Amino acid sequence: MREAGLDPVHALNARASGEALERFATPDEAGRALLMRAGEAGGLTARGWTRTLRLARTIADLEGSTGVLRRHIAEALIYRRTTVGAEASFDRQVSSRGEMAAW
Amino acid sequence: MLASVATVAFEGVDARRVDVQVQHLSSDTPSFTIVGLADKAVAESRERVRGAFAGIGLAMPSRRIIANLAPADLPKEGSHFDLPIALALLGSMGVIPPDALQGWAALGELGLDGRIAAVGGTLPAAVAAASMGLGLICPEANGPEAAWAGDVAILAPRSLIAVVNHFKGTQVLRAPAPGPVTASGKVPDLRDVKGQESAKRALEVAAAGGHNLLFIGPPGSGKSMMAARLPGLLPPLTPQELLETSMVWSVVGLIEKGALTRDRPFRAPHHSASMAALTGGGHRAKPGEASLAHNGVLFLDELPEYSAQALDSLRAPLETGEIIVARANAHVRYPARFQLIAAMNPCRCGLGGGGKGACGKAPRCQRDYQNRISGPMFDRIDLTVETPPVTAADMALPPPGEGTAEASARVAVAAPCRRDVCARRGWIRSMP
Repeated sequence: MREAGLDPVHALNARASGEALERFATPDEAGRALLMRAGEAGGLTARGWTRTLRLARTIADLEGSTGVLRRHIAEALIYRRTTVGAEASFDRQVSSRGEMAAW
Repeated sequence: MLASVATVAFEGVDARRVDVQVQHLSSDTPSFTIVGLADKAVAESRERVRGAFAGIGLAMPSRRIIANLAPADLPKEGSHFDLPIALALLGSMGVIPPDALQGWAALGELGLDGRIAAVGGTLPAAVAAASMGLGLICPEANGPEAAWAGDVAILAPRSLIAVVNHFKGTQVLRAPAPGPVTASGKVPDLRDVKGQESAKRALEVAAAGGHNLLFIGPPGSGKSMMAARLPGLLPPLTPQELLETSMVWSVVGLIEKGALTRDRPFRAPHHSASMAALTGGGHRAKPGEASLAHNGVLFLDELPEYSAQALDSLRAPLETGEIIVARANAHVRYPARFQLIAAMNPCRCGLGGGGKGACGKAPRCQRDYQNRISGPMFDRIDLTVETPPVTAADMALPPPGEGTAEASARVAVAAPCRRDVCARRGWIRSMP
């Protein structure tokens, strides 16, 4: 017995098309501003933008929220960082040492 | 006399129609030839058919016998052509009335005693037979699997003699019943994992949306444990997904006694797997691990240890949900819509430059190790989560209050494929 009409391609947030995202995952003003800042800071490709929106939509779903809010975008952006561990803390140390030298 | 029996050739998981035509010509030197781009296993059919005939006490005609597998330019692979060749030969000899064979497709491997052995791909073959308006004759062991195809007549004989007797009317075969649908018994519980609350939260998000996830952490921080607990959070396969996944598993020959399972596939290939093992293709063009994980999860532990070629071959299916393998004669398409879960250490020594026993080469060796995963690969990973080392204090705690049951309930409410949510959003074409 096949469930007629259930198109699995679109049934997962991870597969939501651009058009579907436009309709249901458009974040609020604050969320969009945050996403823009992340995009400008670099490290967010076009694919990354779409994937972040899909992830934010899932986070909003888990909370039961109809709209995608800034905090959902924020959490999604944290998950998309790719440098972890000593690399990240080394960068932090370098930048803080730089500040000390200037002072 | 010319006789013809329909069968299938597998391209990926699609079953394409092949017609086996058998003709004899009078000749001083009896021979038996198979033509039609047959590979070695098919060429060996000759010997198996000869042996099976001897096994049931039938003499081969001492003429020049030609078996043509049409269309002649489609490569034929596999041992399942034995039965249709034998049936066409029996038809041309008049042992089975040739017009009786018109309404059937057949596949199966023959033993030298005349028994019909199980083969892979019976389910796609049955679906293809239904679309051709034919019934299917398949090995007895594959009968329950073929019966899942629904509205198609299935004969599942144990031996060549049984088919002959069926068409003679002396021993009519009964249609097989479909095999069972099994659901897994115990799944590993999230409760077994101590601490790691933020990693567990990420696992829930990944489960709810089908997102790709990477755990990075020192050895022993629970990465593989948590990955193994993801299937417990996922909803069971829908009937459509069950059919798709079963077709792939059938082609690889992994369906036992027609039993289908509602559990999402969870494949965890070792990092020594070649590109062909992961994505399919190679000899015999069988689907790979990525296709076996269709509608399920592909878990890659020790991600940087996989060959770069193997990892790069996964980039395309992670975007498109299918794998296209270019072979000499054709492009073969395999379904491969899977969720990727991966785990890795932050660096070679595993400790990431912190904690006791750190090797002191951080952050340089850490950057080098993580650079083995290409940028485009990282781009396809939606969640990257650090799993901090588990302390002795964490291990001494009592088990956490929440486990798989609570988490999967949250996932089920939020997750897609919930028809009302999907229908409201217009994401599925809702039909009565």
